[in-house]
Amino acid sequence: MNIFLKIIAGNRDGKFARTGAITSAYLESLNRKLLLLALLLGATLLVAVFAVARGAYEIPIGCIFRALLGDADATAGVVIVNIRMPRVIAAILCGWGLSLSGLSIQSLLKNPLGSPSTLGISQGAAFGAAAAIVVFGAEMFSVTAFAFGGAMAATAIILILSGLKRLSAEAVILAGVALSSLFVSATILIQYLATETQLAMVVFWTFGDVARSSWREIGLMAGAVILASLYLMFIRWDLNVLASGEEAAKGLGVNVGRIRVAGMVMAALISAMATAFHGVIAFIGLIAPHMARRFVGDDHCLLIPFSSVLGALILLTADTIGRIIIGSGALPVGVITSFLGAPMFLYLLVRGYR
Amino acid sequence: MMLTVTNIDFSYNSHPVLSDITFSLEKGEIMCVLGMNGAGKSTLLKCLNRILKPWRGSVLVDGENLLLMSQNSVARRMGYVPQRHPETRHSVFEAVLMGRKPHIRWSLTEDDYRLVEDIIMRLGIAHLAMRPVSDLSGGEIQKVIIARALAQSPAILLLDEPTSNLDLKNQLEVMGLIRHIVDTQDLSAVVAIHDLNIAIRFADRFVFLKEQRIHAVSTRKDLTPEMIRQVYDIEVALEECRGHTVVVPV
Repeated sequence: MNIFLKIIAGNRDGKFARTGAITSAYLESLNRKLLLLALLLGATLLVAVFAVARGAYEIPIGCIFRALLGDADATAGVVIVNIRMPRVIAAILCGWGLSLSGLSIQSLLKNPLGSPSTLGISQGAAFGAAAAIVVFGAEMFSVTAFAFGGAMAATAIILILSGLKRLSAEAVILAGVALSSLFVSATILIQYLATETQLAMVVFWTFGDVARSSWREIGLMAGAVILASLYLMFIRWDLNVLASGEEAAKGLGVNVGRIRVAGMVMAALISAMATAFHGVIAFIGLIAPHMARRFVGDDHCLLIPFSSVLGALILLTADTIGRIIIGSGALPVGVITSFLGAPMFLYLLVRGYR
Repeated sequence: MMLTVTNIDFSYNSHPVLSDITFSLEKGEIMCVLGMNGAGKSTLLKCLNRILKPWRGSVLVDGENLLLMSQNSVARRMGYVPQRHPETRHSVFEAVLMGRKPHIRWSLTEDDYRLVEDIIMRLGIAHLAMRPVSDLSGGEIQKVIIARALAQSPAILLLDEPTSNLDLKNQLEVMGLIRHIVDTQDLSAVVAIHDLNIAIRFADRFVFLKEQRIHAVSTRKDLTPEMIRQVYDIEVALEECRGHTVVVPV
């Protein structure tokens, strides 16, 4: 935690020798929030251990640690390393990535209703991926590349509408609705043209689900999510300033055009990867950053880590609930996040979304 | 000469807004930009710190041309107070810290905190430091945004209609504060403003904009009713009242 305080506040101990009461009060409140962040991280770890241990095949906690050291009995080892761990880690990375993607979109476009799924970016990725499955077979590289192409197409349209044409936040969301239904229809058209086997693959794949993750996909996703987190932390002050208005941001030295394009491409890449590997998992990118704002306000120094942890925690918990409590282990997590996210979206609309 | 603006041209979508703007400003002076609604006062301010990019011309601060610098380098030389401040949930302290943005490399340093704390004390908003900006009154918000601009450690302050949403007491307080800052900290300020009486009371020089051009440049003592009549299209008298010059429409 001290290292974290050093990074975001420029100080390790929570106080300076030559500053006064106001700085101390500020650093103290940072410290309190970092404690909360540590608690949330702890909670995520607990849920992760629980999720690895529980299920159709019960595993004692001690056995998990032995399996990680390569020293468990064969069945438990296979279940942990090949089935449960990939699923848990994929849920964490996917929630983390989608949440950061949503946070970047909300901050860069100054649109509190923005997220990969409400702007049609995930649906664009899904269309690209479905096209790749039908045209090229389900080869991972082409699916990811096409998903990114679809996500970028949606992102470019949204950027043009909100940047150049200066549409209001609501109008951009309406454009997202139009884009989503266009991409969904195009995906259905592709399904119509597909063979039976391809159709089964596309349909199964469209449900957002973290169960089908290979270690290679996890590695790729981890790399992208970590790079995105570093980039966002690097521009955290630019994002803070942008919240005070575009002109104020320029007046404070922010190259608004550059971070907007770079950040949106990054958000599109993360949602494209998440969608290519796991299907459309809606609303995580909306829910998690808004919960983070409830905890820490609009300061991106804290919003970025909080959104990351909350995204991971929410998706992992939703997946674990779907797998263990609701049932057979096959309920796709996308269904659960939609049930959580749609009411939240409506609530934000009604409340005037701040 | 601290600020020298030469031959600035600017147009929105081939519709000219400013043409051939030239003026200069000394250290320790306040210049008010005056003119009717839509005369291009705000646009001129935004051209000075490159929020808008002029088509032609130069803006020199201590001999360096701002129009050739990065946005960040401009922000270290010019503090900007925009006309409106959107509602955010940042605290006052966080809002003022943002003024350090052009100087931050990776994280804040002890000097950044000290400077911000010092500015907050000097502007008399220490009691508000931990409150969210959105809870404050118009006058208080304006002081916070001026504090943020000061945290940029600029040579020049640009203020866009700093008094437009304030009551009379707060108008005088905010402009008095700007006067005090300019006098005590070796700065200059360019202020776009509607209120002629406030302008005459606090500024050293005036630039009158009319039909995209500079109609007249004047110091306080050279100001004539004729200039005001030509720019605003109304008859006025300049009267002395208890040591203050006031503009009276007649």
